[in-house]
Amino acid sequence: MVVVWSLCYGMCNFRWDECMAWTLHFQDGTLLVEGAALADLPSGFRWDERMRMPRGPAYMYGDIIYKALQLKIEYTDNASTWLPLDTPQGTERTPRQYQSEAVQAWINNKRRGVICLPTGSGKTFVAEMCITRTKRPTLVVAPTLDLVGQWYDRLKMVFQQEVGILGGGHHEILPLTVTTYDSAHLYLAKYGARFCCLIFDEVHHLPAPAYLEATKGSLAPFRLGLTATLEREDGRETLLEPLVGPVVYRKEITELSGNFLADYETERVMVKLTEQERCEYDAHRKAYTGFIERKNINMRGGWNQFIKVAARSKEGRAAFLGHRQAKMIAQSAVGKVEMVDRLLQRHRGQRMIIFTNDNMTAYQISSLFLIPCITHQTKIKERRQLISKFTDGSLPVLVTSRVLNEGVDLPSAEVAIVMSGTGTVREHVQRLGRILRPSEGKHAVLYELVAQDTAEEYTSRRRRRHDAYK
Amino acid sequence: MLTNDLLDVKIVGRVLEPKLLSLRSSLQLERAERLLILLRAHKEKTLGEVNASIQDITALEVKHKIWKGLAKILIDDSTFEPPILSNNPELSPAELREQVFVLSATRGLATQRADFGRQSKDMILSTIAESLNETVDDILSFLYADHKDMHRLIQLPKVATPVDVLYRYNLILCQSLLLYAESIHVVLHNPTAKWLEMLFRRIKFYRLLFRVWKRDDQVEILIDGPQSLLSQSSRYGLQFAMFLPVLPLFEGKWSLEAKLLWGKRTKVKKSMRLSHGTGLKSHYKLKGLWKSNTEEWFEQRYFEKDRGWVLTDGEVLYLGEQQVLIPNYKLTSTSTQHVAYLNIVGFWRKKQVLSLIDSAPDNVIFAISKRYAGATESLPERVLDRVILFAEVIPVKNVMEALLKIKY
Repeated sequence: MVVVWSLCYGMCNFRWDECMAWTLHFQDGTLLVEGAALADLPSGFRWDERMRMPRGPAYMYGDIIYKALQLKIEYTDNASTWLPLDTPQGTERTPRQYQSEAVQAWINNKRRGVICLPTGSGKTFVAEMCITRTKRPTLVVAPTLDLVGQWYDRLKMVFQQEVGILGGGHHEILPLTVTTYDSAHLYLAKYGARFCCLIFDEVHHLPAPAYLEATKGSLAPFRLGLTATLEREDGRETLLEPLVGPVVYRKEITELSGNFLADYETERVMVKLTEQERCEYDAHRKAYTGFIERKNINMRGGWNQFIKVAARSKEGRAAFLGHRQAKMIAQSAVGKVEMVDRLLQRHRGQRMIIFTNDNMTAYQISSLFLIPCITHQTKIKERRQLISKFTDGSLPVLVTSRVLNEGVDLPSAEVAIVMSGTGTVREHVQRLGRILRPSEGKHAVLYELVAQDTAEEYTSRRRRRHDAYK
Repeated sequence: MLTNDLLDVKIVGRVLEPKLLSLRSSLQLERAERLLILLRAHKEKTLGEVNASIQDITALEVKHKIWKGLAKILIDDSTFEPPILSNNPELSPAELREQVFVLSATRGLATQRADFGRQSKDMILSTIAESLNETVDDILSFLYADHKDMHRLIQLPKVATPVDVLYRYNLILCQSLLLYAESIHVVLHNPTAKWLEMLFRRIKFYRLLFRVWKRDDQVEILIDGPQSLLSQSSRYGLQFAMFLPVLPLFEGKWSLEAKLLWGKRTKVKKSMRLSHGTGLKSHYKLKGLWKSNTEEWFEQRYFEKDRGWVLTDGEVLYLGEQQVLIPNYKLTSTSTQHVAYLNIVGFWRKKQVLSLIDSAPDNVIFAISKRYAGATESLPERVLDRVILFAEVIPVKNVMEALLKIKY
């Protein structure tokens, strides 16, 4: 007789038959099934001569349990190490209808799948409900340390227990733990047996090849992805389904705006370069475009080709540097800085976030107007202090490059100034999302500063291709 | 390590060759020397200033990969530290920022314009400067002094000569390429038992899996990790990279063939081959290869007369399931050609030593130190024929007697 740990309910079952018993082991993100014949296991398992037993990716753990049950084979689970999670009874907050629908849709799909909801619509609360309903150790994976800090505070408060942090100088694994995608990539294979549920915040980051591979290293049968912007420029979001599940629920900004999100407007502000900037911009741009023409490089998807050709000659290097310099002039144009000064004056007393494309411009703005700057270099403790002071109004303006693009909860933010950015729709929608959390009488404004008659005009057109900007 | 954009390689078909720098090339030596001189001239300057100066001399260079690679190696080998405010050595930049930003916020934020009714940057900063007895310029330059770019060069790189810079570049280039390896195949010619022991200790330390076999006088080890069986993955690359500098320390012939997954988006399999002839030089120090007193004393006594058995270095005994035993000595009978092994055990616990004896072949005998015994209780009768207990010196006579008791 073998004691079997049941996957879903944490109860002990007793099974026996004539087949050889299986023993499941977890090793470095893989699952070893001792005693099993390869033919009995799902495809994806291979015979490992080094250990003389079949080995497969850890994420197939659920399939193996179901297979053993189906074949009525005794098994001992030495792989998973989780126990039921203590969660407080219910939650004081009443979910909105779409939040309840989202959670139910996820549960109906065997607790796997992606929920797409706009920023500010309460995705974190949806995740909390999923944890409460599942009652299993959960690892939350978020893209930045700010979000890790935010999840940490939130989970600790809601579930009334200590929460572990993995990453950013912390290394504590508890039944509820929060980590970054980078740390998950490094450690999921090591701690993959500790969590029954994985929650991927801003799951559109997950399809990056290294991250996706890392999720295979976890036994967790329950998986939830959360995002406001699932679609990626490279189309790799389709790779999420086998590892997280399909989209089980979706609502767009336009469906919730006014009722569940703040009312908003966006304004594109064209800024002229100074004479000197124009002169320098044109010269740098000419070095770049002239080289492309002379070398007959097709730039439609040909950036890599440009880099390759440019690296071969001094003229090419000059073209590359020209491109970079021209971009910098447009991104941090004097006119933009002046416009920021005007907007600070116009919205004095309101909470504002200024977004730049690069750290250098962010620090320049910080030093000019003496406003705090958050970049990847800002330590987590200071970031949290700054965000807390922003929320209470003692530091009403923040400048940032990209780290506040996503997820960070800044409910009081009313005005966003996009000084510069990439051409991706996702980044622009996420930046807009920072000011959309609803509050009484709030009217949010997003200003997009664009250097006139520069390549930025094209970049701006590209990033505005979304319903939220129509 | 070098970042992906700095890896200088040549690809011919499925073979990837690192473009190693010639130690005789006056051009490369000059590059290394210019960078060393640049760093010496930038002592006490910030990393941002060092990088800007490097950018000045390399911006239009076609071989910027080499320049940047050499520069990165030297910067990584140097020590940069954050500056301090002379009159307020205890004040951190984060604390200063808090003071500055809170004051700025209470005064409605700094402005560049006189007509907005807000204060200028200098007015706000001078209030802080006065209270701290510093200048406005010092305050401004200290505002983000904790950021890497503002750290100052305190200690020059340990690699001090152009030749050493090139040696280090070549080794780090190869190490950086191993980050993309899914497995490595190492061949060592006539390695000593000590060498193998050290290698396997490292393999175990890095939690790698291996297969090992012997072919004539060479030992071959195929090293990868659990996940390699399931997918093409370079997740063990870092371990391989850390492993590499050990090999150039091997005095005999060696080779390493790495299977690399190469390419930014589509990964293509390439192979890279390195050997004793590649000319790599390691800056690692060899640890754990010395001969212990116990071994020296045993050998001294053993070779005092002809024992009828030839004593040589031990070799790898593959016990299956990731267990390898590398006995200290191999003993070959001159008359019967029978082979036996002697394994010396220092620190031990009864359970571990019994498991070791049970899993080892019958022709392995164990010299077990009484002095370093982890458990005082005696060993069971069934293993005593294969065990020689010793205090300081292994009694050769007892070893010879144990050899006769083995059933070959």
